[in-house]
Amino acid sequence: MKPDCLNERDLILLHYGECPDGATPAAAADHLAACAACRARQEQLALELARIPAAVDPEPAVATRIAARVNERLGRRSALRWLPVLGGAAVAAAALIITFAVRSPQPELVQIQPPTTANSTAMNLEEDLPDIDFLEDLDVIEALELLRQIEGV
Amino acid sequence: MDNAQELLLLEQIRAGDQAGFATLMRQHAPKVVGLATRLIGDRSEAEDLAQEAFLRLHRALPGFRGDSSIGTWLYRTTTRLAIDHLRREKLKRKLFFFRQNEDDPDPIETVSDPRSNPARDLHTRQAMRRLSQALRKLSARQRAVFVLRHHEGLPLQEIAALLGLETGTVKAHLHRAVTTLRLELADVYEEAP
Repeated sequence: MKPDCLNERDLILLHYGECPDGATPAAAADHLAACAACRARQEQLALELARIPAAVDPEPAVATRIAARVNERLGRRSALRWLPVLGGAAVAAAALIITFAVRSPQPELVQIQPPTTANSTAMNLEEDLPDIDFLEDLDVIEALELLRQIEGV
Repeated sequence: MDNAQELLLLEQIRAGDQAGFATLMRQHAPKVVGLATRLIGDRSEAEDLAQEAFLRLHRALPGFRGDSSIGTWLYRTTTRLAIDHLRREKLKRKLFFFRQNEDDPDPIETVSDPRSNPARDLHTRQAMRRLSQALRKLSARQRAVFVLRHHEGLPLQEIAALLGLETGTVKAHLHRAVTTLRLELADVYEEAP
């Protein structure tokens, strides 16, 4: 390989029709015409790259499948688009309910009397007993007052 | 579909015509899936990637100015998604010591050519498998540059614009990719008649 021979990078670029770095396209073409070694390297490169399998696009059915899947996802996305709105509305409604509940006057608590039972009646009677004693005491006092008046004390 | 037809279709889609978007997808999907398959080497994942590209296109359509064609936009998006995918896969393999089973059937094989015969199919499948294995040796960018130049036939300047790279960097990636592939496929070249 001579000093002015094309390097591998330039040969690759020339193969793909691109401008090489080390020389102008015209100078590279002149060199290739004159240099058998570079021409052989370029032919070998072309041969190897040509053996790389060609690209084959998938069958057209794939397009229908992809379109169906994308449409499905777009449909789901548009449904989900309302989710934040619904969520916001729910939060606002909850906030309103809480605000009204806190600010509105509390209803007076109504004392609910426990149902009367035999025990509670007994307890009430016991509570009434001092009154009965008191009335009895009043009777005694009245009797004493009457006795005092009779006796003239 | 020429530019004028595409612009008309875009207007219909912007006006809410979902059937128009389906037409657009059917038009571009084979190319997009083909490119994604060649870039990442897995047909099923390539279809997922194509779906993602179309979903992004749908999101981008309201602001689509038409500076580039839909096809170019899809090429760019698919390539970037594929590079991200390859990088994530590489990282995953590094993190979890995950190694792909070399004996697994290669999804590239599912790309069938109806005109081919069984013997040629077998040879093509073997060649595709070897190519897929060799492509795995390349970095995500090297692979993208090689596929876009060798298979898709895009000029290096356009590839540089697609990938947001300098043309010199793209040339370096192409050089490394071709050198690696020649080494990896050396035995295939020796076996070939």
